[in-house]
Amino acid sequence: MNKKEQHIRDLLQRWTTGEITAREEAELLTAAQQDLFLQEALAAYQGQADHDHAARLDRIRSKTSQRQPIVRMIGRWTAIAASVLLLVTVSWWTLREEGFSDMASPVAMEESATAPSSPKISEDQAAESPAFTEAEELSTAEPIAQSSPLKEATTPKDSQEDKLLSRKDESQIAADATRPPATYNSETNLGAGATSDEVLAGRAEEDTFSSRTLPVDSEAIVLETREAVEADELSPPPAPRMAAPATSPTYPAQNQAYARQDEPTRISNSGIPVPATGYRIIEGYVTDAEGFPLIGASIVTPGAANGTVTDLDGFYRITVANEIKTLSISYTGFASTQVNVDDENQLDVTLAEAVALDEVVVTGYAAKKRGQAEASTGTAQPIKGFRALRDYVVANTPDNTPRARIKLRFLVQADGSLTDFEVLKSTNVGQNSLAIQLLEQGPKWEVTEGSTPVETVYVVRF
Amino acid sequence: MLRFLRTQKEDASDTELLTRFQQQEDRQALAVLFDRYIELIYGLSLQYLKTPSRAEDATLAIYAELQQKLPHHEVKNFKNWLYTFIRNHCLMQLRKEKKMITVNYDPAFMQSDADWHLSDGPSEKEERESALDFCLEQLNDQQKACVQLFYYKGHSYKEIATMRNEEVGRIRSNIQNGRRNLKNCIEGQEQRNE
Repeated sequence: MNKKEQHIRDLLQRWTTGEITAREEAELLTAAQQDLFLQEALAAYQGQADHDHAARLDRIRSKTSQRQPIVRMIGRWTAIAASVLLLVTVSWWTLREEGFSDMASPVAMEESATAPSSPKISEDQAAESPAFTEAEELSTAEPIAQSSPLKEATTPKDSQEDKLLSRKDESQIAADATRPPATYNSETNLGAGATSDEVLAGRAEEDTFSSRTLPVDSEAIVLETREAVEADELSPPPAPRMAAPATSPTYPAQNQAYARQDEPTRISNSGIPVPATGYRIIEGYVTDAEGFPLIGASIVTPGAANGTVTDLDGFYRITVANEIKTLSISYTGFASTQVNVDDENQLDVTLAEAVALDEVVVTGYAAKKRGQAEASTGTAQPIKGFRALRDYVVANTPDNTPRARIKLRFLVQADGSLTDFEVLKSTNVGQNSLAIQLLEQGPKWEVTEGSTPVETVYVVRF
Repeated sequence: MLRFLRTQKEDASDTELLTRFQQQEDRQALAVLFDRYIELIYGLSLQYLKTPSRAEDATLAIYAELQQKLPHHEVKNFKNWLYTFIRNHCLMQLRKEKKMITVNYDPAFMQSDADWHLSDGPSEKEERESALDFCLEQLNDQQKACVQLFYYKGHSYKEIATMRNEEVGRIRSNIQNGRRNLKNCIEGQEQRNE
């Protein structure tokens, strides 16, 4: 069985490449008669016989068969290498930052107008500015770190909104992949923009095969990106401007309401959000039962006073007052859930799919008349025979009734009565009712074969 | 790695490969399985989506979808399951595009068994063969040559293509059209005889 299937598959392959001979083709076509799958596929091929399907198939094969294991291996090593590099850089950065944080704001302002106060700074700035514009060009959605403090609350949100809007744009997806985990700072973010295209180049192909990116993957890419950033930034001495993370939070958007109203969250120097007293941050992933992230699931506090939505990885972060003990999480097509949050900061939620109907296609196979549907097949005849029925009809026809033939269909019931009359053919429509009336009131019928009611046809002649 | 693919290709059955993918998350197993059915998957997609490029996209999409969905489905007969799966995928896509199409399946395209068993009786056979000879002469040169090379001389499409210095697809459609013309012509002859 398996051998035979294999053989037929080979034949089909030979058909597409054109290596097939007449005899083999006949074999293939015969096989197709038993196999709907093959039959339809072959019909399609024959419908477009002059197209070079073999080339397409080769292309599909090359895309599907090889890459994956290699990518996986590279991914793992890059992740390890990148995380080591990251660790080094972060610690180095944290040490540096104390020295620079004071300088940060004057230099940032300088960008717009004033002349550099010290030659050292101007030098740094000159070295840095090309890189900066490049980053700006490549990634418009990235918040740029030099503006007034007023902007800081809105910038990250805007950037996320932009991302949501242009989700189809692949470069944006790549940029999104760099969504920060807890220890994220604007340095990497800015750099991520610059390298997003490179990352994309690797990713775009991979994406074809896994349209949903698992959180693990994206993290690896974040790391990869950082590694690239590190490489870029190790050569020139880091500019003072780059110390700006203090004024430029790029962690995922706090929900809008909070950002505007009472600002319960401040951002620490290292970019980690710190809630105001009386508030806390809860974060986590929302996934479906199979572990896939739910994008855009809503997380709201009771009364919906405060809420946020999950990002492309199903990640959310929400700042809530300490006294809030439940969150409700909802997503279209899934059962909404209330979860208790006593004092957790990490809360991953799995939503169960709601019972819902998919689109329903109603197909009518055949229309049936009521009588037909009820009737069984069988035979029936008048109790006293057809001759007696004929005599009855003749005897009870009023004089000077015009000649006519009326073909009737009706049901013979168990008690011998006739119901559900239907005129099939009539040479004189005016006498239809008379014919029906005669049969109805005439001799009883009986069913001789089959179960009642039985459908019967009889022609009444006048 | 290619050799690895090859060796697997020979032995393991669909079910074995499937189990290996579902239980051990062996992606190679799925790749092999997919490779086996690639012609059918692409062909069926082509049947529904009509253009080769869309069929190609669909085939790739199906591969991605298989990776996600296969682990969670209980599949008894992979081939039948795959058939339904592809059909649903294509119909879903068409529905998304808000296009309702009907799948034309022209039985005339497929040869029936009857065409291959000509031995209904000696006289009828002769009659048919003379009709065939007559009709073969009616075909245009291209079709005639291709049909003769393919059916009488037993060459493959590819060989004919090299011989005539044309593309395989061209030969394939020549033969196909020639065959259809022959069929129509022979049927016409028979009717005339009756």
